Amino acid sequence: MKIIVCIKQVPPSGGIVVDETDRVQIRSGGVLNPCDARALAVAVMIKKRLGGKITALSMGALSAESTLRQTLAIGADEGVLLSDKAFRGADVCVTAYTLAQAVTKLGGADLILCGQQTTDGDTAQTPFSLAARLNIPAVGFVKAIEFTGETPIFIQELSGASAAVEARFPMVAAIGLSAAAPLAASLKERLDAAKKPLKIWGLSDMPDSDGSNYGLIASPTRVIKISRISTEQKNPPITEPPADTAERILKAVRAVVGGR
Amino acid sequence: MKKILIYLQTSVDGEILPVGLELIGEACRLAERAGDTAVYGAAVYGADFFPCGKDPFVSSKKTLETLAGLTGLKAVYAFECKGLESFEALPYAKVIKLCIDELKPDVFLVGGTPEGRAVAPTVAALLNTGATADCTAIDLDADGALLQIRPAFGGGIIAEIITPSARPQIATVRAGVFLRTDKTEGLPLPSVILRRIDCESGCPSFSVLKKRVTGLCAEKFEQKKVIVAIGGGVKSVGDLSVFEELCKKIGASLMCSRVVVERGLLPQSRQIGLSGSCVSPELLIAFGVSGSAEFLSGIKAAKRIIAVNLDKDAPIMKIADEPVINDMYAVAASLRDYVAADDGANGKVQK
Repeated sequence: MKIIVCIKQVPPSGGIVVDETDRVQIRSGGVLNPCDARALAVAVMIKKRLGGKITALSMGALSAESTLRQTLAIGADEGVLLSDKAFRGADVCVTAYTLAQAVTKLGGADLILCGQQTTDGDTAQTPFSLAARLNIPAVGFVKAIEFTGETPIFIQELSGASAAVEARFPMVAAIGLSAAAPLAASLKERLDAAKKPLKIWGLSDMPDSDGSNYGLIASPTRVIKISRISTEQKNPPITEPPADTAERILKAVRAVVGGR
Repeated sequence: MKKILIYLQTSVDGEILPVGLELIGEACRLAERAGDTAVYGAAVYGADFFPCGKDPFVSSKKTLETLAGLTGLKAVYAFECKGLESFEALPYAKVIKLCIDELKPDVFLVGGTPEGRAVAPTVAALLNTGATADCTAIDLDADGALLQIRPAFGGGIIAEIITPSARPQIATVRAGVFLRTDKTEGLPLPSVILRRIDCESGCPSFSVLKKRVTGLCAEKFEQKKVIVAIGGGVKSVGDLSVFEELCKKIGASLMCSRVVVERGLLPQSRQIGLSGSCVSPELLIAFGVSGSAEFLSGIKAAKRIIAVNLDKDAPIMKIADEPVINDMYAVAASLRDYVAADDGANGKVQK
């Protein structure tokens, strides 16, 4: 069983800095994206039952190495970081293309697990885009994992319903926040992680090494303007005893649902 | 002539989901402003609509009537797909690609349901174009360029995004962001273009995963009248009970911001925001929610917002109708006392 987990280093909450000239996020350290931590936990769970190898794959600045190292402590067997100036500023479409190139170079995988969305981009699109690039099925918005014998069953959120999707490899699964609890590493695991292989691949390592197919220049979308969200105060803050607030709330509730 | 294509997701009983109607409403407004623009729809019908043993190539009369009644559209494509099981992103996207190849729309809009959020990036990848996720506003200029506006970079910023040359320009929009048009008088009705696709024999690349629908979601949060939202102020499972009790008493739904889901306190189905649900209650009571742009995008349609927070500078305090500086737990305790007292006086809480 060959499992690739796509992970991303994201800024700690509230720590996002954007380059105002080309409106691309400045990346300088951060944490493992919360959904990706769940995807990794799912990978570890599946490997325990089915055996195999977990490769953690990431794209980002060199600072992302620390986050990849963290995934090696949690349960990944090897790490690959795609890092090159040429990759900078990629939108979803081109990010997925870059990841797909790396997956191809890794010789493909039975199962590619992604976090459903990141806390910085927050599009929830990359897993689907990656699956389309690889022309393999994707199951998204996974909220739980079950097993029938040795076959993983992904419980998927749909409009007004859930569906149980039997894994059929190769496939992509995009893991939501509720699917698994993130794993923590012991001190020993962290020390062992330092010995696990971690490769850094740049443009010249990709099967397609034409730089014009990567990064901002290849991206179909452009951010043309960014603006801070207006923080104008709509109504003055109210200071009152808690009991008065309770009364305020109950009055408001009664105004909606009836009652005294 | 510019063309906008809208993906019309249907429920299992053949109804168009409300978000599709909202997109038609907004697309018609954009078309009117931009001029020389026509709006089209596309619906994909898989095995869900054709119970076992039935020939999928026999169109349901009701389905066609539903599509033919969508005022504002110039034409609507109905793809009946033999061999297409219940929803799966790639095969559905490949069917939609057939539609896009034929119609060549400038813009393709998709409702931000779990299915739509999967279809849009998949179609985009197949066509090597962009898809902007969960726009909170869109605009179309006279040249057919679509301005796509959404919170970005973690939500502190609003980004304006364009797709300079790739086509179509694709965007998803969550339910409740736009209003459906009620004005139907005098508007022409669409022609229905029926297309039959054999996904079994014709296209080996239509892979289909084995899937069964396991349960319908009992609670429709989007339609709840009163929602209590809890945020980062809630640290542990033990903190939840007081809010759960409160919701039970007042008939509200308990929902939360993303951090509460990250802490494993509530499931993601209860998350409000861009990466959760957009809600439109009559009353939203927010306890200890700071109000990231990500969260605020999900409560735009709330009619009245009472926010309880100790931090007067929290963003939610700026947009709330009643921003109350208070300790959420002190207020919750008081509420419990009030509700309990009501119980004592009347024997039962009035509904």
